[in-house]
Amino acid sequence: MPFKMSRRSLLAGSAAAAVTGFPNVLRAQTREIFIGGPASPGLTDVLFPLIEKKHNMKILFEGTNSLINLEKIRNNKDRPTMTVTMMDDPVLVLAQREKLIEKLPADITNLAQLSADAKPNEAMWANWCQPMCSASHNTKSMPNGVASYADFWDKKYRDGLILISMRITQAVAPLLAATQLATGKPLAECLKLADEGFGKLKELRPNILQVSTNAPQAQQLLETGECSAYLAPDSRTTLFRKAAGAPIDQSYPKEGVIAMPAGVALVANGPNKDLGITFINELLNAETQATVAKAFFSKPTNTATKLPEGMSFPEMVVLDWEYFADNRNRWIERFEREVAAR
Amino acid sequence: MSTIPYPVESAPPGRRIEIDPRFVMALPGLLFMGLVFAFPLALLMSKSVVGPDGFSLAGYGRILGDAYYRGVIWDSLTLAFRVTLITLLLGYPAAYALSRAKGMFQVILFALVFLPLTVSIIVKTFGLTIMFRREGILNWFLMNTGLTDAPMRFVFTEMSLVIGMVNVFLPFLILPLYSVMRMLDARYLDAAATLGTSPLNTFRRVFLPLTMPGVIAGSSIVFALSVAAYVTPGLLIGERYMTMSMVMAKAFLNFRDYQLGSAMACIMLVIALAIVFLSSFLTRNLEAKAR
Repeated sequence: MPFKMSRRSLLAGSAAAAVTGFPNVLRAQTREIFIGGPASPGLTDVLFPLIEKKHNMKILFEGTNSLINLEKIRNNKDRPTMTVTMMDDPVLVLAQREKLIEKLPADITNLAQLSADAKPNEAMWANWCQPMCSASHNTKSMPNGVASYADFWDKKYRDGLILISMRITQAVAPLLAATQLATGKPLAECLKLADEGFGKLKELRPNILQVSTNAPQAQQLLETGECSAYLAPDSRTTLFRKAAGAPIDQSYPKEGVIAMPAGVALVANGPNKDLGITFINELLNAETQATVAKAFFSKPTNTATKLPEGMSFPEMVVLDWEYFADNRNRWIERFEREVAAR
Repeated sequence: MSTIPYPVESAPPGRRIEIDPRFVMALPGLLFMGLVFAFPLALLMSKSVVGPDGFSLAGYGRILGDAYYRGVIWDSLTLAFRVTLITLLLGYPAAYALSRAKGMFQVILFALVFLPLTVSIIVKTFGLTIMFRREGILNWFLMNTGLTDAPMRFVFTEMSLVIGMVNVFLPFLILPLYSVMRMLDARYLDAAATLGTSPLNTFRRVFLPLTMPGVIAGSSIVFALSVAAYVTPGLLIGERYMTMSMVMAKAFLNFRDYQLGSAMACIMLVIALAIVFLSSFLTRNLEAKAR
């Protein structure tokens, strides 16, 4: 019997196919990966859309601070849901020790072009950029910033500084600045002498308006002129806000600027590992790194990267983050008792 | 308040056992609380006495043997005390006004009490920070009225912390107080007035004692919330005024020192329980006296 198709059955068939069939085909074409890490301007609005478009993948990003992100990976250790994690090196050190991340494979070919200090522990993870960390200042109250970290101890800044809490990695900048002033050693040598810096940091107390764990609040107070300087968010925030028109800028003290470690790693036994590898390889690609430099105001780590015109970065001090991770808890205690306490 | 004993009879052999309907009604709530409150709490308490080598009270020893942590507990308690006291001073007349208001005026007063509860603590706290700034409305007012010549520092001070916490917790004192004042039999006050008692004495000898259960309930809630507050102190003063909650967050999140964090949590729990028992004891005492 010949099959006759009416207009009605054609419409019904099309609707059924649309509801049941085609979305599955579309889902099969666009694969998803789950990435966790601290939220930063430029990630979800610039970087991820670029990679998603180029590699036909969907990135599900959960932005939270590094330690909370680490806790999530720990809790899902037996059945990981996250493929890639983007965290600071001191937190990645902990993740490596607990076997929560796995060594980056040779399939990530762009690793070969990375500077040696951007592949910690034989490429257990990679630094996808190096934001600058020194001090952020309000350009109305301090038009030229500071020439030296020592300036912050001046009485004219009484109640004028916000210090980032030692619980946050960027707090290493004021600690090393204090150590440098106390010991006279170059900033690069100060990490292992940091205990000698607490006395000097304590002398800064009259000038400290607040010790903050809440970066957006501190940033707002800096931009409104409630404080003169904020020690120390990194260039990802400071220069991003400056570009948006906020009256703030990054100071470049003569003692040096510290390279913050923005790391990316594969979560051990995470799903869709191939996509994770594709994502990291793309992130470290020289062209993408040029976009990273522009969007994150951070030094790219791929040595073949051609910086956008007019953009340059100073030589930065790269720290031993393993040592920092080993001493951080002790420093948090000292900081809270000797510097933050009333 | 007197209670009538509920008749309980033992079921004779062969007869169906009857279940108290009150128990059945309470069961879902009890199960829920057991699962989401008592069980995690038991886990937390067990962690406070487990060290690397098994049973250990080292977590408590580290807190109670360390002047810094003792100071943190003291600061949390004194902060909660100050907040409760100011909340009570502001909340008592507000609850009285609410209980005596009529019509649209009462609706407006209710809105003033309830609306702040619909706003997130974070939004309220950020708003206060803006108000307290050097160029904020408070300094503007002080300078324009000639009370000060130059902007004063309010942000990240203990004063701003106390004001912020009072602002957040005030409704939690007004509402139980309002409920007690509303239920109060106005004839007691009329009787006192008829007998020639002055308004002040009527308040002191009649109204205040009869509203004490509301005072105790509201103060207990505010004290317990204040002693455990985390977000508001974090935003209004930061690490310059460490509280027990901040120590717990540090221990769990930064140090992964579950014994220290759990021990601090248990100390906070003991304080909360002490408040509950004390307020319950005081309320019963007052009720007994009233009878």
